[in-house]
Amino acid sequence: MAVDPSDVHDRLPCANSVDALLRHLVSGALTEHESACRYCRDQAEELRPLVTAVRRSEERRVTAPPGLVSDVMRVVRAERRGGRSIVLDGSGPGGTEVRESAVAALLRASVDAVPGVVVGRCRIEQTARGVVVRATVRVGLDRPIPEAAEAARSTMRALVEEQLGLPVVRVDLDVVDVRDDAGRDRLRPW
Amino acid sequence: MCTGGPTRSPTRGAHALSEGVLVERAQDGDDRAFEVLVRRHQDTVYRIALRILREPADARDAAQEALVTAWRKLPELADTESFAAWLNRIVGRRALNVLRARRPETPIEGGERITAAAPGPAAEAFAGDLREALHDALSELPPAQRVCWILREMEGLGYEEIAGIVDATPTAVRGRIHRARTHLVEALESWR
Repeated sequence: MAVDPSDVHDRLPCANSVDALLRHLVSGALTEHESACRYCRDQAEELRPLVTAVRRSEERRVTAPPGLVSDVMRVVRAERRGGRSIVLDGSGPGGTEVRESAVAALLRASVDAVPGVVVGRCRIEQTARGVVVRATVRVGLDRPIPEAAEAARSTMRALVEEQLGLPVVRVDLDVVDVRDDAGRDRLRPW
Repeated sequence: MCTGGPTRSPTRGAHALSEGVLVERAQDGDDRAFEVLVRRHQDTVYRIALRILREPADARDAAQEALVTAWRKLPELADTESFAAWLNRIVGRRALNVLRARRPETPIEGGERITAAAPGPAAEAFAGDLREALHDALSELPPAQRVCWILREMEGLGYEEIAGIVDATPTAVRGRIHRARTHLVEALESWR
């Protein structure tokens, strides 16, 4: 397919690009140059019906049809990623396994109770000596990071020991961000 | 028990979480986090599909397929903060493929220009709304030109981003947008 060197003919004699001018006309935010330049003004007149048409198009707010989310989520849940399972101790006969994803959800939820810490990724590995947890966290600025991390760590450790009845070898936390909202939208301060 | 954790719902407060946290959780296979992302972005995804395809049923299908594809490919997304742009790319590609399948004839590229034959779409549009006239003029464009124009002028995407969606160079994208605009200005001439 031939490549059109449109860089050249998309520019007005004043060097402004028609694409930029059109965008500014649609948004109503002309630059000082565009308001004053005769080439831009002539081009704006040329573009007038198109600008009006694009604006009218944008006035119409488009919302997704009802049922889209549930249809998507039905497919998503049907092919939920397998993941590993954590084997719990028990006297048997029979055994109990918990999906890693379920344990991760519990661990994240448990840290919701720790102010200023939000868990993102959370991986659980079962070793011969016990469970290893690795998680990414976002930490708020309102208290020292070691203190916040330690609070999250002991909460996660307690959950694995008390709810799963398994020893914890290590809880490794990777602080990926430190900010005043710690990974939460400002809509809901905590 | 010092956590209070297990009795709490795993989705409690999920709507207040930032995009990066939700994407990381969804990458881990947390479908509840993914659902929050779907709810946040469904209108934009559907709007892009609808603007490109115009048929609500086709747009709905394309939006659904794009969102399911996003779930499947999510583990490959390296920059979790770029989720929205990545999702736009998926739906843009999906809609373009549908458009191309719908119009198997060779797209008119280069300097060729399509003229609407009166009393065809242009004549009908004259009686209708200017918005409809724009949409009709857009549907006369070759698929790639239409998609480039819509993503640039209606969705505000950059040339590089669009180039990634339509598999072309940014220069080619600029060329298509220019040709599309030339056609649209002519098609709307009677509205002056």
